[in-house]
Amino acid sequence: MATTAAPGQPPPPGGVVIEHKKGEVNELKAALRNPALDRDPEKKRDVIKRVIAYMTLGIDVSKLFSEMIMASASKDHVVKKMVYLYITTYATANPELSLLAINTLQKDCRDEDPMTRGLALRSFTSLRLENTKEYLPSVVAAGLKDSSPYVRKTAVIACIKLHRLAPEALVQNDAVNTLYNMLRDRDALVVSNCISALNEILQHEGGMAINKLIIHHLLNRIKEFNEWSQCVVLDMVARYKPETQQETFDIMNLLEERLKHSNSAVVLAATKVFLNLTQDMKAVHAQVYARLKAPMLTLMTGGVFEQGFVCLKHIALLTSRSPAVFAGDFKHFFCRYNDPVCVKVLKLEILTTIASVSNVQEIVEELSEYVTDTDNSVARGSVSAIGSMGVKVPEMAGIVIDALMKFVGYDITDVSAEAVICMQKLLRKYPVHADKILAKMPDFLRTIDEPEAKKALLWMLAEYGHVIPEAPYLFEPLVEGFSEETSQAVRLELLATATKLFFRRPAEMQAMLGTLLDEAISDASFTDVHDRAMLYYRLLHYDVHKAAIILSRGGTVDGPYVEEAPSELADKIFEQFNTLAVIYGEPAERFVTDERALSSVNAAAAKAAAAKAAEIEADVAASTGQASAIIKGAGNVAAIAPFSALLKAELMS
Amino acid sequence: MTISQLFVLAPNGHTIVHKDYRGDVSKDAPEIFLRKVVDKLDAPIFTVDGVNYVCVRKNGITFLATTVYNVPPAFIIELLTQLTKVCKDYIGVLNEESLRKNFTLVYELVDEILDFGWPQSASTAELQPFIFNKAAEVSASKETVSRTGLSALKAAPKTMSSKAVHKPISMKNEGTGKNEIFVDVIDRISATFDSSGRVRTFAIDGSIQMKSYLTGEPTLHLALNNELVIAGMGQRAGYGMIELDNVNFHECVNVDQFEADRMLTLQPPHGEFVLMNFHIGSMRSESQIPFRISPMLSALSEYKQELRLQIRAEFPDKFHGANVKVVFTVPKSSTGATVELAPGAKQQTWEYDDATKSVTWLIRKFPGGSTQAVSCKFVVKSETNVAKEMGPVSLAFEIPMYNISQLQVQHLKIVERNKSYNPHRWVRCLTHAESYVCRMGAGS
Repeated sequence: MATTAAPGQPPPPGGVVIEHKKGEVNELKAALRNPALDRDPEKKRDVIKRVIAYMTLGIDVSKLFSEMIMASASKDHVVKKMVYLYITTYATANPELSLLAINTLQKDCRDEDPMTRGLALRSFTSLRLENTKEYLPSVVAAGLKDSSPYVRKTAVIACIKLHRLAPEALVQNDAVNTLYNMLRDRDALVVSNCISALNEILQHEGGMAINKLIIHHLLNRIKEFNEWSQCVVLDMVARYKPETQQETFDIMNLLEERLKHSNSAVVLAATKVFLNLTQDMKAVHAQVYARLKAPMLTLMTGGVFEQGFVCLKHIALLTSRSPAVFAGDFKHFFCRYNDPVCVKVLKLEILTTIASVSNVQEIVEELSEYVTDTDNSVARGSVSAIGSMGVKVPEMAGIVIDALMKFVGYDITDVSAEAVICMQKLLRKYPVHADKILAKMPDFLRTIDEPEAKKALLWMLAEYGHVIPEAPYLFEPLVEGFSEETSQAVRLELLATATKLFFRRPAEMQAMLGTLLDEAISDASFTDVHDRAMLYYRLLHYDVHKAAIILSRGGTVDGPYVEEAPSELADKIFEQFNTLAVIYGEPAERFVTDERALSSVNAAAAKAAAAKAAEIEADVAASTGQASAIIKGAGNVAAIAPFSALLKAELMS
Repeated sequence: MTISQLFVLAPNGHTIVHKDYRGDVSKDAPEIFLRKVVDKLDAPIFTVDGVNYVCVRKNGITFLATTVYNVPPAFIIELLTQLTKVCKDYIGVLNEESLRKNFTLVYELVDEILDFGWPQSASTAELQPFIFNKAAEVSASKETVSRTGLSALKAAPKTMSSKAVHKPISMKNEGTGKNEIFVDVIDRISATFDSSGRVRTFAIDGSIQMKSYLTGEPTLHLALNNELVIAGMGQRAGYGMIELDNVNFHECVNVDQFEADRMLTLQPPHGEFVLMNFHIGSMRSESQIPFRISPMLSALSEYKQELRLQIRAEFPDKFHGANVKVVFTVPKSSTGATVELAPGAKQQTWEYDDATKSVTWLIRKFPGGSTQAVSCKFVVKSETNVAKEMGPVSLAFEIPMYNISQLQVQHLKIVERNKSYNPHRWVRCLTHAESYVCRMGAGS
């Protein structure tokens, strides 16, 4: 319940001084007991406000419980609200005393003013007390039938609270059925609360059951709902599978206007509906992406930065599915100097994804400007993005390598390191560009110190040992520095490099390799390094030719890097569009730990899996069916054909 | 779509208001949140041990929500943003002092807006019947006003009632409250230039904001320029047309007449809201550039460098740029910088901050059509690539009463009312620099 500044914090400046609290609390007690207070409503408000102020500061004012309950008899709404706030805060700590409040609360639930009834009902069901169990079911049931929509919508939410406190009471009340019936309530907020309540109460079975009737009923009233309720409704619609394509198009036409809403929550909820509905219709699905573009770009920059951040995350997800859609709008994702770092990094990611032959040159030029950014993650991120674009677009590899060489010249530690790492990635794919980099090798080896970058350099040195004339001499000082090297990864790479170089330049390397292996085996500071050295040593000892075949395999890559390939994970996140999964880049199972929340995640997944299984079953049944079934299927195809023709016509225009 | 707790935190991290809706998240949520923030994490959403933290910051105040569910993030962000607006509507100004003075009012609001973590009504108007606390008024301190981005309006003589937007909405006493409505058309411009003045990126994000203190619930007609074209709606922009790439609207707006007559019909809710957002993603004509920046870098000797910076205001001379702040950084190796203002320069100042190596040049009033220049000298180590190491020149400015997008409110009519109902209608416009940068590099 509402309480307290966190413990251990000093009182805020200008706040109340805690040292005098004991006296103050007693003083308040006296003030509350003063009969004159009832004649002066302004003063009464003041006294009670002071109690709440102490409460917020974390001072224990629970001693005033009985006095506060007395005060709740007031007709003044301001006083009543504050008293109820107080009671709900201290109830769990004072279950015995709280019984005193039940009487007043029950009475207020029958008050003639609907506002009082609603307030009392809300507070009563928020107490979370075992000993309210016996009173609540009847109070809630009465609330559901109330003539005031304010009380009804409060009672609907109260059903969830009751479900938490006493699930069996809810069953006795047959509340679930009542809630389903109330989906037809005149008041839109009551309806959307019913959806929320059913979704929570029926969590274990994947939320509220839906059918055509319910969905159409909700969709027809969509404009009556406020923006938050619209999101709740759209979330339901996203779960629905229309029976016919015509129905799909009707729903999309109806919701088209939602995309013009200035509330990003509504737009994203509608987007999810569109994406889900068109999943099995490739052409239309692609069209949906195109339609989303303008609204998403407007939302991205139109509101507060937090809103833009969420939109960007969703754009990043969309672009990973369909990079071409935003490719022409790449300039929208150029960074503004005052963008927060998290936004800049995100934009870099999007730019990398949408880079293609047509826009990559301009993107690389722009990103080259960010390399000197004062924030390290932005500077490094830009370099890495430029490198990835070079890997992705073969035509750019040469230009990108030139740019990377330039960055090393800026003499910014992190930038140089990242540039070298990118060079390695590029060389693995496009070895033809090796010459330019290799010429600078001596400089790089002198200046670069970061482990990851050093590893990359060593790899290049080994891989191109046969074309760099001075390779063994460049390597020599590194061997000498082996014992001072603190990174295990670098040490391992040194061993690998020495062996590889040995096969390429045996005469010059033999002595050096011997020394290195000797040193590595006798040094026990890293077990892995020791073991690796032993392995190399024995391998070489056993059969040099076989060792050569094993140890000097080429390191070039033909296909895409693993990171670039589409993954199951990405599909899973896409299924959870418009949830936190998109923000974290992880499916819900990985970050949701709360038992209830997890059960809803699992139930939804099970439901989806079941639907998919049913679909496959139907497919199998259809394909193994009798001749008549096949003919029926052919009829279906014929019926769909003109429809897709229509679509094509739409796409052409 | 439900949240567990809601916190309103002061700039120093202390809790001003704390509401626990569901009791499924530990009470030290703000401490965990603050620890993460201290770790230089600037993302507004993150997760720790199964608890999701979502926050919106406004005027140094943090509105934080926690939840254990996999909620739609935009939903929570929009809800918190709405909460900041509602608080401002009811209290008048949003800062620590005003929130502390009105904490019972805020409790009342958060209690009505959410029930068991589920959003109920969150619009200022819908909440009115349920809110009984009266706002204790607090004067807007200088600090908060300047952050609103509308500070220039305060200085402009034509906008005398701008202070009125900092008063709480009047609720119960409809007869005595002033009957008026404010409409602001705001262009936020983002642009990047290279050193030769070529436009690299350009965008205008604009909005029409409304703040209504109207009595009753009148229907309004708001007409925009006839020459308005929305790209992608099948129309072509011809000469003299104003082309927008995209628009979106607040839910109170009926757009049936927008296509044909550029007319919006609406019943404005009480309080402040964004009526419409628009987006222009690329430059349509040269006249949309308000300021041209020309930097000229020259070496006076091996160590001494000079940057001559010239800025020209391209907009008509009846307007002026207000509080134009020019910032650039000199190379890291430099030990200081001195700035020479033009002789006879009025209301101009400069300062150099050695910690960040940045030079700030402030021009209080920058008349349209005029050119302002400055010369900055600094010393660097030899072999410094000065052009590369100089930070970009960024401009922050506001141009009151002027819109580079040319979007205008042609008229604002109140439908079907008798003659005596004639509220004050204040229509203002403003161009504001969101991100306006000229790069120093040789124009790659």
